[in-house]
Amino acid sequence: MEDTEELRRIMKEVVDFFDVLVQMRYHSRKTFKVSFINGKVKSIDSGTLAGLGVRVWVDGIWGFSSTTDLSKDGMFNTVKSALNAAKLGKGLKEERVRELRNSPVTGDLFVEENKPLDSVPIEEKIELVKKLDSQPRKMSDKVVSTNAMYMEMIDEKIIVTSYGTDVYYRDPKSDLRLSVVVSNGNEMEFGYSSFGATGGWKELFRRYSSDEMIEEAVRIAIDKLGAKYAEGGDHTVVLHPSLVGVLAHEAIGHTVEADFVLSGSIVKGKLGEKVASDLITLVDDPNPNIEKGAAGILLVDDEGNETTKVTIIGNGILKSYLHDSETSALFNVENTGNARAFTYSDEPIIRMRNTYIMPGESDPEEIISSTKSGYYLKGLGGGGQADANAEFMFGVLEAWKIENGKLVHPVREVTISGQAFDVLSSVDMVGNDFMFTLGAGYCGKFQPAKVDAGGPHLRCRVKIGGRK
Amino acid sequence: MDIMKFMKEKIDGLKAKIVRSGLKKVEIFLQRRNFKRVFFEKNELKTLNQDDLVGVGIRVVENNRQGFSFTNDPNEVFEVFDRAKELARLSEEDEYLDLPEPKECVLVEGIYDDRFEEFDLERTLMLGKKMVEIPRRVDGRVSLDSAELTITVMENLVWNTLGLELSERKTTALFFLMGMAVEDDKVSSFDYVADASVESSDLDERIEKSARVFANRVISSLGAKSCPSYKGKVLLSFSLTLKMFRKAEAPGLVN
Repeated sequence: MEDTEELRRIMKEVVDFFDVLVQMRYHSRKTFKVSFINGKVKSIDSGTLAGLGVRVWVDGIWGFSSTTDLSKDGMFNTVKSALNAAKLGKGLKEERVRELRNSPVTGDLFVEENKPLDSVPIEEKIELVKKLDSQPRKMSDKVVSTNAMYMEMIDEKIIVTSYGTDVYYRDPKSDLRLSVVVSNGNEMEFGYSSFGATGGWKELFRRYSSDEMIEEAVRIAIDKLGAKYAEGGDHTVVLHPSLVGVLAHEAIGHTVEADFVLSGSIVKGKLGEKVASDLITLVDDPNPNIEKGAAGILLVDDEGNETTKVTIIGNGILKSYLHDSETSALFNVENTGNARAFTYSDEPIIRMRNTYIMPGESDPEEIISSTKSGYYLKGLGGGGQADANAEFMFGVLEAWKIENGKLVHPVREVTISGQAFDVLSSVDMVGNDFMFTLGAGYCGKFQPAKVDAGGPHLRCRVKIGGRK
Repeated sequence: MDIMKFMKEKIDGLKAKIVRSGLKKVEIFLQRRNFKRVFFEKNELKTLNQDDLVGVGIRVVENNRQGFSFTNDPNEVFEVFDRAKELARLSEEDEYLDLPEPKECVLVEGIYDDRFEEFDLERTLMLGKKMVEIPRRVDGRVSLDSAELTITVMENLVWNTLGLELSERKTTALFFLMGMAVEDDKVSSFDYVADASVESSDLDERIEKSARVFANRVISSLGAKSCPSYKGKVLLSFSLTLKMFRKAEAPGLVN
């Protein structure tokens, strides 16, 4: 922290020198990764990536430049490079805002960090991943392949802007993943479990232990061996929070990113309209109280602005898009602080943080017991795709047939598809439970971003891809 | 400051330290990436970007155990070597771990075009502008979500204690267009076209062709109807067939 004070002072001096809008962001990332495959180390590596990203705004055009030269001269040259770039675009933008909408943050920001990641010995992390990789094979002779990985990123940022930001921010994130492949001699099936967090070691293991993670991955894979196939067509389904999170992030969340809205996403011009069941309230939250340690926590965005909780859909009504300083000015609304950059050499763009559907009033067991016929679907398996028109198709990691309110047998190779807003309009029960489930994932949009997503159990109608 | 020159000086010092350390298997990989990038959003220019990035990765194999560490800070290269050594000590044995021995190496021809060294940001911008103007000239219903053109000049160097020392220069022009077609309430599928070239001579032609393909692709899915559940014969394109096989193979390959 002391080392960064001098850097912060020089950054302020350089930013103050220029009479244009400047965003200066120092971003240091220390990473550590260990992975094992089938009893062998695949990689054990660590690294540092640090530098300065500078954006300058002139006549509606951003000039961006980055450097690893953290001397005062280096900073001056980087601002000049960004300024020259911005000036090259002068007059080329027709639809521009006169002034960006900023809500600058000052101070030193820390997330809740119980047992900081950098205080846990490397040996302990290696042993953990070794156990994740080896234990499944000891549990069942059906396990033919394993792959385990731990990864951490400890970010430190200093953001100084010409509009008043002066902030230090420590942001540690980690994730743990295990995949297993099982075989009964005729068929192979896949199981997967993962979790991720912002904070320390205790935040990472806040919900599950490593033993529970192993049991879960092995159970998922073995349950599917010999399972029946689902019946294709429109069905009533009960979605586990892991799929609710996928729906919230992939199928809805991307369509409400304001840059995407401006390009013509399906929700353009639909603010104030009913887009989902009254039971649905969907938010994007930078620091959720609903469950501590979510992987997408963001205390200040990468334009140096305050991050705020956004109600995207409130009781079925489309309420807000996700904004940065430019789109909030263009839409004449508050800046929500969704501008994020993955590394110092990436430019901040609009990204989600922790996107979730708020819990309702139904007991999850009651949701299943009150379902006469349908499927219970859990986890994202085999990838998927969501479109600008909110059409989606996702693979499902594990599924069960529901008959007369009971889970009767597992089914496999299920896909779900539909239009996300139609699906949310069909919701008739929302659970009173809650879980973040996408913490190990990275969202991709030109550059990665650590996000989280989740929700409660909910019941709705979707199209199921099956064999019958 | 010439960051590459500074990094190379530090690496020279490190090589001497590695030789003195008596370690038999250490590898240094150095990369410089200089790029100019123009980025467009919602049919308009958003960002111009130029960067010169340098990074170093160090791999240590000791007693059949491997450690790897990296940095982009020239002042940290000695520390990175120590970290890689420490990780190798903590790692697990793998009898197949080794470093490549020096052998006659034929460098790949045609991946470096020195004319890209002369591309400045202004020229990159002109090409980018042309790229984003074409789709809307083809059909006014095309809405560009984003588009990017990046010209990269890259230099890679690898050195190891077994005597291997190689360097390579590469150039690429990488571009993509993403977006959809919009007409009244109808929105097409979100789609993209991306292409890349290692030489500058056919870049104009490639950009024009890709921009037209993109426009026609998003227009063709405008007004498409949702498909009911269906089981029966379908006609698969070559690219879709390839993707299906890749998906089917992927878990087996990964595991």
